[in-house]
Amino acid sequence: MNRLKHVTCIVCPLGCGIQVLMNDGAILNIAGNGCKRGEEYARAECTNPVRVLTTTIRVDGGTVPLVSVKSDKPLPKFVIQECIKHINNIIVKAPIGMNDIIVSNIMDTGVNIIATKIVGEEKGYVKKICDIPGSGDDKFKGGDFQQRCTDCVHQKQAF
Amino acid sequence: MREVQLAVIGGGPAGMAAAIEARKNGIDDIVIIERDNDLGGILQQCIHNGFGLHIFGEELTGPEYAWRFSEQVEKLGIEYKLDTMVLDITSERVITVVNSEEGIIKLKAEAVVLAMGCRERTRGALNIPGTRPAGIFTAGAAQRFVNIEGYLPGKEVVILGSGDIGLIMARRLILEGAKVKMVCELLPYSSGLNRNIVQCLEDYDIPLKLSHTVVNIHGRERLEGVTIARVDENRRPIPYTFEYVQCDTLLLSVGLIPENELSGNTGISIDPVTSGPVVNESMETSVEGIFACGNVVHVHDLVDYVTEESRCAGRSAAKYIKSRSGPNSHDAINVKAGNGVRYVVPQIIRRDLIGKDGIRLFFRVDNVYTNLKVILEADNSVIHSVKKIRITPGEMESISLAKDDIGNISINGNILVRLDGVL
Repeated sequence: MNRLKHVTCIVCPLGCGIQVLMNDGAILNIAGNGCKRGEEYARAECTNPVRVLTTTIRVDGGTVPLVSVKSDKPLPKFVIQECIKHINNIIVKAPIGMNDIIVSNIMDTGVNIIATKIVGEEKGYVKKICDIPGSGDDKFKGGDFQQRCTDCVHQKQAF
Repeated sequence: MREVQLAVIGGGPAGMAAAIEARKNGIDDIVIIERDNDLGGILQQCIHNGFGLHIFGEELTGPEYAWRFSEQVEKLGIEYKLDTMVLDITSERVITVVNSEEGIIKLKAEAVVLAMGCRERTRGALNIPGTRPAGIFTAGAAQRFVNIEGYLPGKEVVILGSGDIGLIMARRLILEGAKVKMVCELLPYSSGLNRNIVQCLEDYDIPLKLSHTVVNIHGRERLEGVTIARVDENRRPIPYTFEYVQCDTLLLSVGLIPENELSGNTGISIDPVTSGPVVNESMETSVEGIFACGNVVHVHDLVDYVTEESRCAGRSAAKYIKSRSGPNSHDAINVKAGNGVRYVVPQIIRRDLIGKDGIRLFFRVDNVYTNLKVILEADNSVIHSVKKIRITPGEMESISLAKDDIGNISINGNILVRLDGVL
């Protein structure tokens, strides 16, 4: 079945409204573009739209709580939500250098998530999160904490 | 009192570019004063990409762009004071600063570069009626919470104003798990870039309601909702279009104003349209030895233009320190805004100081226009004109003036920048 897709061109400030007639993923016709570059943009938007992802990742033991990151290449639009879910579960340890790789080959796209900021180590920092997999701050209260975290800095501080 | 050659007020892109350029032009004793805990200014919170196409030929994020400059500041050994607030600047260039280590200290500078940037317009500037609950932020404040401090300001968001910061924040809040219900824009067009409308709103199916505004705010402790309305051609709300929208957060992206709180005591002239200092071709203000650049002069869309302008200010400040030639020592031509043009920067050109490359005038128009000419007029004759297919208030425009064109203008004459066919 034929379907009309509307694309707003971003190649120049004119912002032409482009109509792309599609049939099952194939482009039948492109109309409304003011120039050749607009046609190319509309074609790419309808076949393989890509975006550079920029967001932040939590930092452990840094001078600041977050590091800003970006994808080092544009990601296919449809994987952005999954990438964000993945990224939001990550905590990265300071220090972090400019353009350090934080996540390599995210969701098997061949794209790396890299730092866009330098984060130094916090002075006199006491490790807040235990290294034991699957554990978090809340689980360390009381006796349970002492048992499970044998070499956690938390323990030295608390007991 | 400590004496320095050059004091730069503000360590954002404008201040850093000016300081670097002054150092490259032979000034050794420079100090940058920055109130935040890091150099970079607002770029540090602008984590999206798209900065630096003109100057670096690539799309950098804000922090990366800032780093390119802060790294040079470090390499060149330029002194900077962080967490330091400037309290006062006098016309004699005595600067009073305060920080928690040195207390209140005074600096006497041979030249000063003002690079304080700009400020956001707030709810108070709009006079939105209603209660005063928590949950109402300027878009930039929310951007700092999300991108620097790591807090999400709310879960159900309405954004008023479709400037670029508002659009960028719409996408940012969605990625961080909030729901953005809509972006309302008072004008019949968005002042944001097309690219941001597509990639921040359309990508996430966020409705952009043009000719809409917020007319009431509800909630006691926390924002519970807003009333939005369509506006007529005079921007007045149309009563029967009132609609209640539930939300816990309202972001305001309703314009920026050059931050000239400190400029007042120096006695420099302020342009009532830009709200920034009147500057000449060298980015020098009306007071000798005080220069200004970046968003403190007029609000820019692109940081690359800020950098260009600030390099000019840094160069000029270096020249002034070496030569001591003030702003009134040359014949000046006034640059005026004509039909359809809101303002032009610089406001003054001293023609014997224009280099062989001529000069670029930056201006903003007062409405959306299509198919017209931008005219440069001097002594009632057209000296230059450029055709434009489309021109909008949201995008800063520029027009170049050749050295030869300026040579023929009468002394103390005017240059008028106007749109052709606009009454």
